[in-house]
Amino acid sequence: MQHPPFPPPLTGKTGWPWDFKPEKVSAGFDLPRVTIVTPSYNQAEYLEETIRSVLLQGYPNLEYFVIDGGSIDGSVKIIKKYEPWLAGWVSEKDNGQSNAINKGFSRATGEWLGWLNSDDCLAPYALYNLIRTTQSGQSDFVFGSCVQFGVSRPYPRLKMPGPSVFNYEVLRLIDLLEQPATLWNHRLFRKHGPLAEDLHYAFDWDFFIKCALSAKGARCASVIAAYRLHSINKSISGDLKRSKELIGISLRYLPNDIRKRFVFLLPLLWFLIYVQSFQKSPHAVLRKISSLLRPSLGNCKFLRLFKLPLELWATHGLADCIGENLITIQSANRTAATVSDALGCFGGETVLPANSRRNL
Amino acid sequence: MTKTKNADWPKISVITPSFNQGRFLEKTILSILDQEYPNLEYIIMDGGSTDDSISTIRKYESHLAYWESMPDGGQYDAIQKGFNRSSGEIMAYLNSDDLYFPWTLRVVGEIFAAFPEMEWLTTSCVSATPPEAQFPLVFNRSNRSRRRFFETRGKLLRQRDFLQQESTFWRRSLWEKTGSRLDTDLKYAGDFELWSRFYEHTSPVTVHIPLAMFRIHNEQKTASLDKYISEAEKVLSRYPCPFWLPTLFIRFLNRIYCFVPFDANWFGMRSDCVEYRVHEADWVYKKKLEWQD
Repeated sequence: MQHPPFPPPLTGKTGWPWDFKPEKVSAGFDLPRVTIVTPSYNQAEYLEETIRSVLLQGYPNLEYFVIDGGSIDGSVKIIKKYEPWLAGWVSEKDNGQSNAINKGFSRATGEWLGWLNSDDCLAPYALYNLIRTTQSGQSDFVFGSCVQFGVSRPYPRLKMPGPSVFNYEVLRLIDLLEQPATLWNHRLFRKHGPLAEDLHYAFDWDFFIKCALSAKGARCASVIAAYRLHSINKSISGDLKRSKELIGISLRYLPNDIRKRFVFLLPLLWFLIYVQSFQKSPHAVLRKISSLLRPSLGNCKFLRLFKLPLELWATHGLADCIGENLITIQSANRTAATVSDALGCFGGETVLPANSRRNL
Repeated sequence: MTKTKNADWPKISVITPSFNQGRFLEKTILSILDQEYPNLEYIIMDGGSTDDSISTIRKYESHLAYWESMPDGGQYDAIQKGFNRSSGEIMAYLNSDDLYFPWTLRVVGEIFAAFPEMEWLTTSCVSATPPEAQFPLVFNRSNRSRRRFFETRGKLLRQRDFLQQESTFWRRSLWEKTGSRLDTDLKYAGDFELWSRFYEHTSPVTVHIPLAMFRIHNEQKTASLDKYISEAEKVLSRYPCPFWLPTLFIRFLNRIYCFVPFDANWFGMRSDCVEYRVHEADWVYKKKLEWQD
């Protein structure tokens, strides 16, 4: 099939993933097929960058799906532009992000699976680096480092999980894995998937905990992905619901001895959730109107009071092992507004070799 | 997939001088040993610690090429003794409170294997952990030319752009050419004195990958930066300052040199770098001048 020429970069855009000429990567072994799914909903601003960062990997055996949730902001136009290079795409209403990802994975034929949200980006040759790491050991899960950048973080940070992060005992207490920088074997997804569709924020953590029960993880030393923090980022804007989900998951997988210690907190939690449920009553309409009038105060002042402690408890309150398991480095003298700049602060453009080429 | 032979990798000798820093020592040792570099010679020279350092070293005794614990004449004396015992082709030392990154030794080994004529290597991503910061900070510094090194004489207090000692690696040939010694008279800036002798010979090659983390804590020797700087100034005062050129003129020269296939280190302005190219599965050497991106 004759492809049209790859779309040129948008005017004024430079660096990865815009003006970049990928070369087909090859190794001493057959590169297994990798399936990437991008769920998207009304993020046309970032979607093109994401699609390009996957397609410009130069990975010869790539299967890429874009699952759109019925966007109305021109996302479909962007997807159509890249249609010849996609394995498939749909644009229809769905039940949230996890539902979209599951739809994509149900059509996947790849040996290695991963998803990339529509505002994140892969680093150059990221897939190749991840796959290369899996070849050196018997692991079904591979993860790497991730650069966080965005308007709320002018100096980008590199988040580097430690070698022992992919461990059930650690992972069920804290979510230390950066989702864009992970890939897993299709066997794992068949065993533990699909993703929990009742969760909307932390389904990745839920899935990773299940994986960590049975699989062995390998860490890739390279910078794999760039994670964008912006005001409508789900992990930031969905504050209260997200906290509730995180707490729910950490309680579900909590070790029994800790559960006994924290059991006196449960009535408080139930009470908070009970208060939250008032929003679903007929009064909610009135509350909604008043909250629209006072957007800064929000719906429920009472719960908002507990937001920060709940969030802290859910993310890293129970575990005291962040220091060993997650190394964070921040750029000190170089700010970054684009993916290319953010990766450049940590040598992400010049790829960090995970294992030697001589290992292959 | 072939099994890696030790002979494929250049032998790296890492020396750790330690004295009563048991709370950091284990992390330092693990940051080196966890990399499972196939051809590593790791030596710990302890200055007769009285805390739990000895038990920590005993724990990893089987992975060490050599270790000893006896009173010595300071940090640089311990390092000197360690280097005298070492045999690796590539040399470096890591202080007992600093850390390597998980990729450091493999990256360094690959680069030195790829460029046999390269003498010494440092990073342009200097990472340090100030005591008030939550985590390490990365300072991007690309200019490592000889001119820059020697012309900072008298300006060290103002522009504290030192080479990061933890992420600097050199070949044994360079070490032997420059006298195979550290200046044990200096208490703080022994590394700076070593760089000055290296710079007489050649300027380092940089790689834009962070290689080591430098922890700044209150009881640390170099945390008393003033003493370090005054010693470094003394070292620099032994050398003539490079003749002054207007900045605009240097920039103009750089523009011209871009089109010249140069090999000479004109005005000491070369600051070369290496980069990894995945599709070529190899490292490339880039000849660069100051301010040239």
